[in-house]
Order: sequence, then C-alpha cells, then structure tokens
Amino acid sequence: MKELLTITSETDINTGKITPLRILETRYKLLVKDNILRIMEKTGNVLTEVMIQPSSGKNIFSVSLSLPDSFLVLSQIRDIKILPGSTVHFAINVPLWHIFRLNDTVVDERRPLEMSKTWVGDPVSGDPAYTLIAEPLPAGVKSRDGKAYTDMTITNNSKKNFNLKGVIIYTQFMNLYENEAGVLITDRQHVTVSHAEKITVKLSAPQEKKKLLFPKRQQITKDQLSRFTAFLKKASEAT
Amino acid sequence: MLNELRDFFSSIITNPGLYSIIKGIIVFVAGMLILKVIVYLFSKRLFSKYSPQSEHVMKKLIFYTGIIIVMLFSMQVMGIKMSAILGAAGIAGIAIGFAAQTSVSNIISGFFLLSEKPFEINDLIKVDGQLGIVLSIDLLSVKLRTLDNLFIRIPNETILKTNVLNITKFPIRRMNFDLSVAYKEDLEKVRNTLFDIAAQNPYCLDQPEPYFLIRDFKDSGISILFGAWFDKNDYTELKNTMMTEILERFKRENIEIPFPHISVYTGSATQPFPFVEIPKKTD
Repeated sequence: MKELLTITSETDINTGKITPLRILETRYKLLVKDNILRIMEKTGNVLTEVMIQPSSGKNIFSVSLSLPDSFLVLSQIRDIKILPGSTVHFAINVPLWHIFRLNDTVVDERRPLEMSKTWVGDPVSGDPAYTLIAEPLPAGVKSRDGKAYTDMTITNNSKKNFNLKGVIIYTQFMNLYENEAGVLITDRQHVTVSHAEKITVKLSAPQEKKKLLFPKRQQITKDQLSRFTAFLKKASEAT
Repeated sequence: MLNELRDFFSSIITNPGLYSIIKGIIVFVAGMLILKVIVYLFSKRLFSKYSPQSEHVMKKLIFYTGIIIVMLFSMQVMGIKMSAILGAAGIAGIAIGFAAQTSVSNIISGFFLLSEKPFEINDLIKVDGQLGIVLSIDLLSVKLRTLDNLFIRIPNETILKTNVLNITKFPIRRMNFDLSVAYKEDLEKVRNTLFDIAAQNPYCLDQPEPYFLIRDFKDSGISILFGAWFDKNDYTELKNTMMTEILERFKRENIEIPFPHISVYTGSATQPFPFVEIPKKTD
C-alpha cells in the first residue's frame, strides 16, 4: 500500500500509476522547509506540520488508504425491510481514512467524511462505532471515488421482517483490497437470520483476483460477536 | 544486660563462624538480584497483558514473597535457628500489633480494596469530596493527583469507610444539562431543538439516544433535564461545545432561558404598579 517518496522541496504526491491512490494526489501536497514537513491541501491550506530530525538522514514519507478505525452502523434514510424467507445482495460504499506516515510513524490521519460517533452495546460494556448514513447500492455497482466497496448478503430465514437499519459493517475485521480493475474492495459480509431469529455474521474474502492493501485491524472476539448480534436484533426489532 | 543478649544470640546461633555469616550475606545479595530479575521478566512478558492495577499488585506480591523467602534462606545458611526467631516474633508481634493498630487497619483495608477493585490506576475518582486520578494503590494508602496537579494521600481505611465515586469506570457516560425555559415556549420545539443539537455535535453519541425529561414547573420557568451520552474521554469537548451550541441555538430559535424573577401585581395583571412621587418637605 505504501507509496514512498523522498521530499526535498514542495512536491505533489505522485503515485506514478493509475491506482485508487490517485485520490490522494488530487487532494494533498507536501513541503519540507527548515526541517518541518508540511502536509497541505491543494489549495495551500496547511493541515499539519511535523518536525523532522535533521541528523536522521533520508526521510521516507508514505501515504495510504485504510478502512475506518471503528465499526460502521448503517443508518440509511429509507426504511428497508427484508421479507421473511428472502435473501438480498447489495453493496455499501465505505469511506476510507487517509494515513500519512513519516519513517513508518503515523503523523496524520485525515477523515474525508465526518461521521457521528455511536455505541454498540450497553453503557457498561460495548464498542465505539460511527454512524454511516448510506443507501444500499445494487450489487455490482462499484465506486471509484476513493471509497471501498463492501459486498453484503443478508438471508432472512425467520418469520419476521428484518430491517437494514442498524446493520453493522465490520470494518475493523475486514481487509482492504484492490482488484484487477483498480477498484477498492473489502471482505464480503454475510448476515443470516435463522428460523429461531438467531443472527450469525460471517466475513469472507472476495472471490475475484485482488491484492491486499490494508490488513484488518483486529480479530473479532466472542464477546464482541455476541454484543453485535444482540445490537442488530434490537435495532431490527425497534424499527 | 549485654551479657544476657549475648547469651540469647549465642543460644540461637549454633554456628557463629564468620564464614557462615559471609555465606549468608552472599546468598541474600544474590537472592535479591535474582528476585529483581524475576520481577522484571514477569513485568515484561506476563504483566503487559493485565491492567496497570493488576500489574502493580502482582509485582508487589512477588517482590515481598520473594524477600521473605530470600531472608529465610539466608538465615538458614547463616545457621540461625528458625524456631527461636519465630518464638520471638510471636511476642514482638503482640507489642507491635498494639502500637500499629492504624497501620494494620490500613493494610487490611488495602487488601479489601485490591480484591474488591472499586477503581484502578488511572481512574478518575471522587473520595471525601476530593477529585483526582489514581496514581497508585499501596498497602497503606491510595495516592491521587487532582486535576489542578495537587497530590493527595488518602488512607485505605478512609476509602473503605466512605463513598467512592468512580467517574471513569464505564466506557461511556451521560452528561446531564439542567435547563429552564420560559412558560410561553413550545416544549416539543425545545425537545426537537435539543435532539438536533446533540445529533450535530461530533462528541455526542447517536446510541444510546439522548434523554429528555420535563422535570418540574418552577417559579421562573419549566425545568428540563437533557442527557447526552459521550465517550468518557470527550468530557471537556462535549461540555464546552454543547453549552455553546445550546445557548446559540436557543437564541436563534427565540427560545427564552428565563432568569429568576418575581412579578408583583396590585389586583390586575394589566395595570401598572401605582407609583406616586412624594415631594420633598422643605422647612
């Protein structure tokens, strides 16, 4: 994922090829002056300044895209219900963070899309998350605007409607890939609601050819899994 | 007196040779070094998985148990009879027990605190009116650093006897805003405005949802409680932004926050209070 470059003066970020990373080229530029690295927007607005040790020799700067650092709770505008006995396939465009590193130390993390914070669990124990307001897209529609494509399948084997509102996208446990067409994709997510209304969630790698860009941030624990399914059930029942 | 002491020590030391004493000292020094290495290795490899509090307790437990073992072993190498030492310790124990009642009480309270775990190191707690971050939980006392950087030492016994408020125990908290709006206001509009302010605030959590309660009809206005949930680390940011936003938004929406006042009428609310100027008397 890392595109490395050595900066000696004001420079544009140049990834050197057609890649999803081009989104970074169009947004940012860099400047080193008086041992200070400035990360700027194209407009010249300085986002952050980092002191560089003069004696450290060659400094390597890298930029990368990553999935958000917390889970995303889907909060679409329309109420979409999945009828009993049906299976739906759809896609969600997931926003990506822009991570800047200097000699492997993260110096800045930009979030192009501001999402409000939320909580999965109860007030005593739970996990932080973001609310993602997004409409589900038909499966196969892949975005190239710096977002990642998450393929989702939901099978409702219960006797009740299942509401998409409150579905969690497990970005923490997903890998980020680039496929052969230069599209950013994540692991696929399968949600199954059993006859007895038990919810199971599985993540699997996409079947198409791809290369890993950013590995999953953490492994899911049993405790988290039970919390997430309880939250999902509650959210679906509430609507 | 000296002779008696000499007799006492000669009776408990069967091998008073200098060689044995030196051997004992070497064993003690080597034992202490090994103990320090053991504690270091445990803290590097094993304790890193636990909370700072558990690490602190386990380190102390290993260290003090180790010291006792090293001391007993060195004394054995010196040829000191343990039975005589233990006998003397029993008599001394009674005397020391009376003299150190407070300390012993604090130590026992310390053990209760460690097992009950009402708070851990780095928690923000309020004890006896004192608010501070827990620096350490020791055998005799708990050390706090107040938010304005003062040091407080609270005996364990005090903590066990008083109410302890642990502010950072749970990952999220609810911040309550006690508001008052004028009687003329539309309460549904007030509610919607407050929920909208919370939804726009980046530090306010979407779930659990904010809490809204019409509390009371007060003298000057209607008392309202509005509670917004937040990550415990975002206290200052949420407080400042919400207070500013509530004030600004209420101004924009023409929602009046009344101040305490009393209206005085003389029979009719529409008639002004009669006021008559009395001319100053001149002699």
